[in-house]
Amino acid sequence: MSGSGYLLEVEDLSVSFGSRDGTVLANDGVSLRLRAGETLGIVGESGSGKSVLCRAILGLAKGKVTARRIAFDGRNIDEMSPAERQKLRGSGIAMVFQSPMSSIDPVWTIGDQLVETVRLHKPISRRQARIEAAALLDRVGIAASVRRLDDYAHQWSGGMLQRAVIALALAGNPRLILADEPTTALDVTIQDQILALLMSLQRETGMAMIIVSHDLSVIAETVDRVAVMYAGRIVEVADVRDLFQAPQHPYTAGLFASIVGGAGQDRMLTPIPGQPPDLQNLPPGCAFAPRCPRVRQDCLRSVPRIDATAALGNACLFPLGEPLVEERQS
Amino acid sequence: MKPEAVLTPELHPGALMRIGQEVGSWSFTLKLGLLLLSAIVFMAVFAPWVAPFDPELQDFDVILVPPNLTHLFGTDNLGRDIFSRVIYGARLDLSAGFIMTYVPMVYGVLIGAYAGYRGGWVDAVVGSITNMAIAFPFLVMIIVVVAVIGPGINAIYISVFLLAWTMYARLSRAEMMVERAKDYMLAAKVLGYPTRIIVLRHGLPNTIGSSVVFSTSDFILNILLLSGLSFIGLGIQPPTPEWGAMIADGKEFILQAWWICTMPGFAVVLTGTALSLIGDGLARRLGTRQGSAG
Amino acid sequence: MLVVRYVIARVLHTLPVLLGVTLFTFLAIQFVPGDPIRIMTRGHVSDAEVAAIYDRLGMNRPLAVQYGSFIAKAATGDLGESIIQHAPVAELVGEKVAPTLWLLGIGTFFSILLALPLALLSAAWPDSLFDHTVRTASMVGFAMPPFWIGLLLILGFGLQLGWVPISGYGDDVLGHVTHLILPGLTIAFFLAPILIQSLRASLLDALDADHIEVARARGVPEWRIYFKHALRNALLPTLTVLSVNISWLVSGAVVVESVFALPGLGSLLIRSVGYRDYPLIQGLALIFALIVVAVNLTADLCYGIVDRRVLRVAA
Repeated sequence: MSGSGYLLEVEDLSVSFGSRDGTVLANDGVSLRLRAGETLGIVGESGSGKSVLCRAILGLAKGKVTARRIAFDGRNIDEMSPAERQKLRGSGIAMVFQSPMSSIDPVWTIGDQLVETVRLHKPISRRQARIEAAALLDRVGIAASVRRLDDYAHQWSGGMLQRAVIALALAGNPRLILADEPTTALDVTIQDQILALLMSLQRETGMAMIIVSHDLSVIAETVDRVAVMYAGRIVEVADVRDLFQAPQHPYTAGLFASIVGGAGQDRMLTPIPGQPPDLQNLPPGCAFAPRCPRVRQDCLRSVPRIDATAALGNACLFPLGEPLVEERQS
Repeated sequence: MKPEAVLTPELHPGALMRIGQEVGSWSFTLKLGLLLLSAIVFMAVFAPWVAPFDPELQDFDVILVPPNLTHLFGTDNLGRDIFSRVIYGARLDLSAGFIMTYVPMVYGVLIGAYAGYRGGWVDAVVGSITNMAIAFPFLVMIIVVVAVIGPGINAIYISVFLLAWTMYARLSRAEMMVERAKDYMLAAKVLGYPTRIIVLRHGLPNTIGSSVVFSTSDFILNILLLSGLSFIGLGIQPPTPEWGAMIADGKEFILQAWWICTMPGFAVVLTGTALSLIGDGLARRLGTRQGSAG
Repeated sequence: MLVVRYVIARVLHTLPVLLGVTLFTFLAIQFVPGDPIRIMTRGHVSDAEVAAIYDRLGMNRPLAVQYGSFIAKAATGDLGESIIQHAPVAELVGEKVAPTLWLLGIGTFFSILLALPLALLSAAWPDSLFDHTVRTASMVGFAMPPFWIGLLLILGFGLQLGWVPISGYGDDVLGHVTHLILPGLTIAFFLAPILIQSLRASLLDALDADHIEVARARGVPEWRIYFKHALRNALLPTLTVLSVNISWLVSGAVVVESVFALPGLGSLLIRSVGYRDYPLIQGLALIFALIVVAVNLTADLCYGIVDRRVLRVAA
């Protein structure tokens, strides 16, 4: 057990991909912390680096990963050997992926893969593991679980498959679950069911959870704290209610203004002007500056970083909570 | 850009530069393969000048001579220079292989593209014919035809022209079925273009990739087919130099004069490797998965 | 049950091929210039006897009837009678079918033995020196004429080193196997490159799949990901490629039989051409098609075992 009391600590994580045309900085100095049992949401558009972040934590990122520290339960993941890291996956940290239809090996039965995962983390017999596998399917809401163990992925619907994926994630009794866009590929009606399932499992087991989504409504219903990502950086971290009621970073505010229901019922949607950031050529200073309505000269030169040890904060020189000098004078 | 330049296409510096850029982007594999093949084709085309001896000239003073400076590949039991015979053999194997590959490809691709685009009963018929033909043991079919009309290249041509198109039809059909759902194809249809134009001008260039790549493998297989048939005596008849027939000729002298069998085989391997390299290079360039074997 | 329906569907699919081959052969023989019976008997018989033979064989009936009768008889195992050898075709074929089947079996076995480890290692370290060597060797091997390889193997291992017999078939099972080592290797040189290229490509494809990443996230060790998940998924496209190339395998076997003087169906076919023994040729064509079809069927069935999704699309 660690002394600091945090289950997950990420300090200054950067992930870059090299290609013929240049280097893409997918994550730039990301820091966050999570206590046991806490739930954190990560919000951002596609390309913001949120999926890469999850994979980097698990050690599955395909690019070059550098960090001052990535620690789980006090132990540094980045200093572990590949074998130790592999042991950690599934039992310490588990992940739920985006597309359930392709997350399960089509040529083996669902039961087989559940049994495989269970036995990876517990030295029990196949028969025992099968019983546990059936119990897992029960927990995620799949009826007739024993018979279902011998089904193949192509026989199930998207919603059922995502439940199976969640069951696979639970198989090792993890203390942290990373859910990367767990509902994006599902029908709207199923989305609620899956989210409800995740929440009830989280309450039941007390495990920590990070939910990544581009959909603010998903985040609103499920987590305690939210981190907003833009261009590979975290630009704001706040309690979920504070974030929705009083966003501090202009980008967060822009997000709310551009979505249905975010700006209030009768107002017109205001998209964020400008182009998404080019991750190969990030401007010095704040990455959002080219599109920010509150931009000032200083923004182009430097940008504040959210302290790694802080639970909340924002990366803006002129956050919304503090009125700009000019406004006060007018 | 003068309007005349558009109406009367001429080779101006811009075009040359683009050709240069295109060639520059080719992989090493592709360039090596093309180089090798060009060398072989060159020797075949200019055989009368490249070959040091008359391939059918018999000289009993120099029978069964091992490779030396005069006779690079040695001589056979009738004193004929193997090197010259191999070069002349290239003429036959390459030209026959080319015809066997690319003639069926032309109508095979067309039939497949049309069937793939139209769908319906046309597609069903073409589909069943191609599935049937692909399972035919090809050499057996050729032998049957040989039994009917006698040995020689004609039997091979007849069988090939009857059956070989099916593989291309299958490839082209598969690609067309994917392509026809794409927006630009649907747009052409909505705009009222006749089917002929849609398939030929728009669909075909985009669906021909896997057929082109496959043709290099097919070329190799056809050369092997021709030489194999000649080897068992049912193909090209002596004294015409052909690689397979030459290998058969050398069979009885394999212990005393191993070069008679071996040299023509090397020629086949070299040609085949060149074609494979081209096939792989093309596959990479065209972005298709299907390379040749190896 | 789904499996039964799938099997029946696959078997039904083989019928058009068999019919196609027999039709092709039948029609081809109609085109023999001149009088086939006279050609076969080489003028050793009088006109009256020729006419009698025509009658006996029913060759004066309309083509469709002749063809139909051939099919009907073939279905019961009667492939007609060889004029030259005065024996039922089925009997002649039966004597020679074993060496060919042995050759195909041993050839395929050697091919898989060679291809599987090479493809696995190549895909595990793509673009390494080993990978490039394997791919280049494959490419070159594919271009080698099987009969040429056969002769070289005979020269090298048979004559110079004297390790293995170089022709004939042997008398007992052990004899068969030793006699078929070189012929089997010859076939492997030709088939293995195709298998290697296909398996390697499909392994690389399989490793890219989403569920592989999910397996890693579950904590499955790399070796098991490779052998259990990636390999099984990669077998499917390779099986398809193998199916498509079966006819080439059979064609290659015919030539190899000639090189090594194996008393199989290939040699029988070549000889029957020389004698213009048309009934025998017709029967042999059907048998060869049957072999190709049987191997394809086996591959289809294996496919159904490895990947259950296929059973659904049985129609």
